[in-house]
Amino acid sequence: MTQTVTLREGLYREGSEGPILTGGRCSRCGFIGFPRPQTCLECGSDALESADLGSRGELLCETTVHMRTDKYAAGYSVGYVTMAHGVRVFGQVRKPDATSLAAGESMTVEVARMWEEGDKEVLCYCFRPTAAAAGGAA
Amino acid sequence: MKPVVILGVGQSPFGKFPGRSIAALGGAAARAAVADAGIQPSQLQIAYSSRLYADMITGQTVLKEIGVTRIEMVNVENACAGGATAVRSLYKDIAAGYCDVGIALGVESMTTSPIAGKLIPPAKDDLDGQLGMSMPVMFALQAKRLMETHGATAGDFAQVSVKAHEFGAVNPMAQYRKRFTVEEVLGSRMIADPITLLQCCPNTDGAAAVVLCSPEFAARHSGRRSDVQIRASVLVSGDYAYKKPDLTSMELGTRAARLAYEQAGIGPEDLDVVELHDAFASEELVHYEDLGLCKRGEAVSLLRSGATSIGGRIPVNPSGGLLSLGHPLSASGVRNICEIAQQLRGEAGERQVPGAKVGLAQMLGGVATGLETGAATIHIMAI
Repeated sequence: MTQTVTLREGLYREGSEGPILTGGRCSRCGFIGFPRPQTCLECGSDALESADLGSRGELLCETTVHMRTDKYAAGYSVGYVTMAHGVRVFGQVRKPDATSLAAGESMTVEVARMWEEGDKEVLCYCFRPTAAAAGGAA
Repeated sequence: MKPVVILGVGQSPFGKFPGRSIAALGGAAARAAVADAGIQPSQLQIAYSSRLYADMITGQTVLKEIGVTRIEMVNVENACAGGATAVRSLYKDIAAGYCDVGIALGVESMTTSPIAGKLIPPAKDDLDGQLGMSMPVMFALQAKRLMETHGATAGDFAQVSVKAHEFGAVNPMAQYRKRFTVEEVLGSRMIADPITLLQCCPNTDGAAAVVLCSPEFAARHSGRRSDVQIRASVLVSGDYAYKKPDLTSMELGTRAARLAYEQAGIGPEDLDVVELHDAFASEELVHYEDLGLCKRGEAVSLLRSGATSIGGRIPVNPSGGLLSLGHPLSASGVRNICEIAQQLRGEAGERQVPGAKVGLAQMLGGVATGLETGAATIHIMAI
């Protein structure tokens, strides 16, 4: 039986309608960053709490990489998605086909397998076009 | 601060030489730079050496090849800006009067590095790196934004590469030494859309070195009527990426340029020639604007006007750049300073920019989650 592990704790949480990205909010100055920093990047305060960045964002840009890496087969896509509070997040983009996505496309956060290590599947957040995510199968 | 003179420059051939050791590559560059300086290796007082895919004591390993031992040697790393960081470090020592003459070198054997033939990744525990970030991805995403915000086309990006190879074809030290058409560049294998193979710098083994000295030392040892001086030397690190409104300008590049022009007491309109980081063709457009070679938003029209090509108002990367000359990571920041020095001396052969008196060499380096990029260096030189 394959075990699953999360790439890194604290990047997302399960909401009632799917995963929600979580960053950090400074309780002193209100700065919001992702991933949640140990210390506020604006004011230096240590008082950071978890802040939801939502389950949907807007695509800034994405690219499809045609060379394999240690972890990914050729043909994987990655990009930046602007989440709630204007936070720009890098991640994998899982597309239904090879067609490029336009800036501004609505993207939904999912949790998916990134790679396998032995009998473990490593999971992390990724983004899927909301239109495709709503269709379910893509 | 005292002025600093570039007394000697040298580089090894650039190419794929998996059989050549770091000592052999670096030694060739160091030997050439010392010979060009017209001094004995034993006169060197300090050495800064840079290498990204490092083993221990790069400088000592290289300089023993030319008979240099015992002196203070420092080994530095700053990704692709590492070589220029070594030059900057030596510059400060001489400008401050700690020493009179020293050598800075960068060396890299990419074909024997752990990332040979791979996309250059961030550190192995970096979050974005684990999710698929790499150098070509960073610049492909920037290129996508340039298409949205600047109306840049795939053909424009290809034209940057065509231009680099036009120059590189006449540089005897270049790896490619071959011209390509826009169609050939666009038709080469896709790496990370819209970046194709011929819009990426190749994997390169090579080294470059400079000998810097004080004006007093130059007066005693230089055989030249006039020597190239460093008028500005700037090294800055990157700020948090969240502060960037978009990907189409690099804040640290803009900041480094402003500091360098202030130091040199000149503006971008005074430059005759520029060497910059063109690891990926599309990024050159961003650097045009960040260096002030044109106004914001006008990089595409600057390229299309031919101003940065052979015979243009401000030729960029007459060496062939990283795209054609090749990119041994830590060597490139030294090598592009060497190129500007050769251009200002009028010793650049077929690729000479006629009458060049003031030039700028820029490098960038590094990627890590949360940062815009790692480092930017700018050196302004004049004769």
